[in-house]
Amino acid sequence: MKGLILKDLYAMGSFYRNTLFSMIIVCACFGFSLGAEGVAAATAIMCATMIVSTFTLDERCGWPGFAAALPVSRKESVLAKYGVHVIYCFAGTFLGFAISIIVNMFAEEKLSLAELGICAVVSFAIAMLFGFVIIPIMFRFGAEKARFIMMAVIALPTIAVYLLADKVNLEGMELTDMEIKLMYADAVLGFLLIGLASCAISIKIYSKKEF
Amino acid sequence: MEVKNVQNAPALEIKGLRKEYSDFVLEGMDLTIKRGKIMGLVGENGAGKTTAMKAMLGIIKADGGTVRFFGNELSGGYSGNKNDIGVVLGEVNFYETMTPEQVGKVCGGIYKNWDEKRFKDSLGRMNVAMNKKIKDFSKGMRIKLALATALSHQAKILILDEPTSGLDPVAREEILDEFKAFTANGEGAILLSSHITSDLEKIADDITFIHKGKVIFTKSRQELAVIGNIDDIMTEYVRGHK
Repeated sequence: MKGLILKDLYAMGSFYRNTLFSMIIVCACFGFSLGAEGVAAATAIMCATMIVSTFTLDERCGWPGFAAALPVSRKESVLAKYGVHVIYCFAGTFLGFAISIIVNMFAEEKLSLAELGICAVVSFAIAMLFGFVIIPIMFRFGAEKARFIMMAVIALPTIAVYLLADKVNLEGMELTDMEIKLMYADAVLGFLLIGLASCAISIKIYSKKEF
Repeated sequence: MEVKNVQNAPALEIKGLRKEYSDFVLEGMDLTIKRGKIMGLVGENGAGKTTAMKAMLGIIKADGGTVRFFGNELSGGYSGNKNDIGVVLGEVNFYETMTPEQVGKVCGGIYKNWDEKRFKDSLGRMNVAMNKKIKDFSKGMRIKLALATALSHQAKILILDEPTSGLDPVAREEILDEFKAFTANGEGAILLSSHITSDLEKIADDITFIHKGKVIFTKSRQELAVIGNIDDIMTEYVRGHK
């Protein structure tokens, strides 16, 4: 699996420059309106979307068919993609955290380091969730079709949250310590279950593919 | 699943290999390649050569038949004995921004018996630069890189789909010499599909002719030499069976 992960990391070459350039543009143009939290999330998600490009590159050079003739199982090929995605999410989160510290220094309402850290963790989770949704779709439909579906994956939940946010009245709502802890535990459990389900679906799809 | 060491088993033994598509059927292919031998696979475009190779490697799922490499089947999820198989399917299948050095590192993380020194020596012999990007390579250099990759993990059999297609005569001769060297020890075997029948006449021990998904004959080079030129035999057959 090490070779499969290395292959994606090497092949992406010039895409790293392009992504970094895009990040600089986004941060420079929208950094202050997004705020430190927004910049952290945007950076993590931009890095997370690089996984889509690895699928595009694979298709362009005929890698999937060739890989099927190598001593790597279909399961290993799938798990390697998730491995690469984790690497990109960590890199994006780390970079986003660093940029958010800089943006925070110039913000009117400054966040504490701990709050910025929480933003980074949440950004990492969002970035990973993006991959959990998009990776099985790419295995099933290929990278190009998945790009269109990716727009819906990002846009629909964002629109839903935006429309529903005003309708939810949280005033007067108090949670006990136990309830808060249970919410965190449920979030972590939910995250892990979604990740496992995503892997299982991807493996099932890819095991049946012919090239 | 454990890979059994089956002594004296042929390098490749295919029985009744079958694959059905809506507009094409690969019918019950039988083929045996002994150790130390080179088998040429010839046929017109669309005859089923690539389909057969993909089915025997598990790239596509065969609808019937058995394929054994050195006595072992490539079963469902198990891919271990693919360490013994070197593959070239057209050109090199690594993205063009990579260099041969990076390809070597990737293969080192994939093949159990990857030999980095042999890889570098092969590329040096074939004048392929280690640190140049694949996008800057000519077609010949890409094929040489693919071949060097296939030869550098102690493979016992090579499955090569049109490896000399589009190459100049000098490059083709170099590559044919590599094939001869591979089988010289009497253990390595090669299955090689090609439209360039002159290449097969130079190096193949046996030739299998496939037409519309069916194996028409498998004959030794000596038997074919008595009958005539491979091109003429194929052309005559295809015209007679339109």
